[in-house]
Amino acid sequence: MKTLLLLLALLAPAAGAEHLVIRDGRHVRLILLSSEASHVQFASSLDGFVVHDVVPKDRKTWEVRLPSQKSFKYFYRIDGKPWIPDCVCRESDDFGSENCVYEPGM
Amino acid sequence: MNKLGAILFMSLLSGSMLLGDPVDEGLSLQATEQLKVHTRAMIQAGVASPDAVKMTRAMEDRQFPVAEILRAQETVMKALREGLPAGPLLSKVQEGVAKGVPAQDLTRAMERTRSRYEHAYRNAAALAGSGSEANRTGEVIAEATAAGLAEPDADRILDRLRTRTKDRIHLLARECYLTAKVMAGHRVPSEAVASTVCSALQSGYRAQDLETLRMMFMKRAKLENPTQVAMQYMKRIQNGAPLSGLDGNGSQGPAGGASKPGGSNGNGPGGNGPGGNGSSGKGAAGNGKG
Repeated sequence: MKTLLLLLALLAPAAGAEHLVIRDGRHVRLILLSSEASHVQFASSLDGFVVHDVVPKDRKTWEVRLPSQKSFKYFYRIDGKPWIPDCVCRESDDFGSENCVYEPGM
Repeated sequence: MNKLGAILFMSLLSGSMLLGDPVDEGLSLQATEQLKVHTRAMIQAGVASPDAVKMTRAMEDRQFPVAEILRAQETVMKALREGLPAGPLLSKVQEGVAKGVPAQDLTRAMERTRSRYEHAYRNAAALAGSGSEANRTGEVIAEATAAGLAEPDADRILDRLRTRTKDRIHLLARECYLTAKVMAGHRVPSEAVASTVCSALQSGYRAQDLETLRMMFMKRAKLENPTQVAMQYMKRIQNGAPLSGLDGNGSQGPAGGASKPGGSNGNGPGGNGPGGNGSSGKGAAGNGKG
């Protein structure tokens, strides 16, 4: 039951959230647009899923910049709740939910 | 002499106090002796002491039952005894904590991760001995199975790899499983993923060809149904199309044609498709079964 609730929480779209992945030379920009979110955090496999606060660019834009040459898995926490965008490439997270996967060349 | 002995004793004592014990210092004040002993055992087993403390402390801070923390530590030590890396398990703990996963779900997930790595490393070693090359291959196999490649399908790819010459076999294997990982991550069914990769191997694809195939797939999967793209590649490879002919006329529609194997689906010379890269490509979106 707990797993099911977690899965629902992860898959439920954050209200009005949009997500963009933009390659920018040696970097990839992960952009989250949400007018509802007030606190966005990001965690990826690049540093063993350490949770980082994302500084908003404006009232509804949060951006993370990472190296584009290496594959990684990631997820967000929006207002304390885990959230994954509707990304094209995913993997099981072994908790009954998923992570987004970034691959170079995507 | 006595004075000298006392000074020596005091300096040794203060030195050890200054250095401290990373386990005593890193775990909470409430940490039981049993938990400390097990954390030290993790360090002795080969986990770097900051990592062992960080993992244990993260679980303590979430107020996980001691029994679950001990189980998690045992899973890490078991992995190390089996020659598997501890990193993915330590990372899994941080991921689970960040997601607010309950203790039991976390330890189960760690066991699933360990089991996946066990399968992956065993397969990689079976290919051409153990060592760092095999470990790197094992890592990619584990990632592919996490992305959705079923273990029997991973084994099928391994069987096909074994028919190839041992020269640079790990490089080829990594490209195969990376391709499988990307396709599975795009929700292509596991069986179709394995069939596509096996067809490529059967047709003599080299590591570089598989990398190209993967890049082609990712490019098209942005706009088309990934499963149909993979199936089309499989059919065309089976029909002898060169790599340059895989993206011929087939991109005419995601539903694809009803081409039969052996039909005119891109294995001929020339080319008149929009892709214009050597494929005759008629009806070539072929995702016909059979």
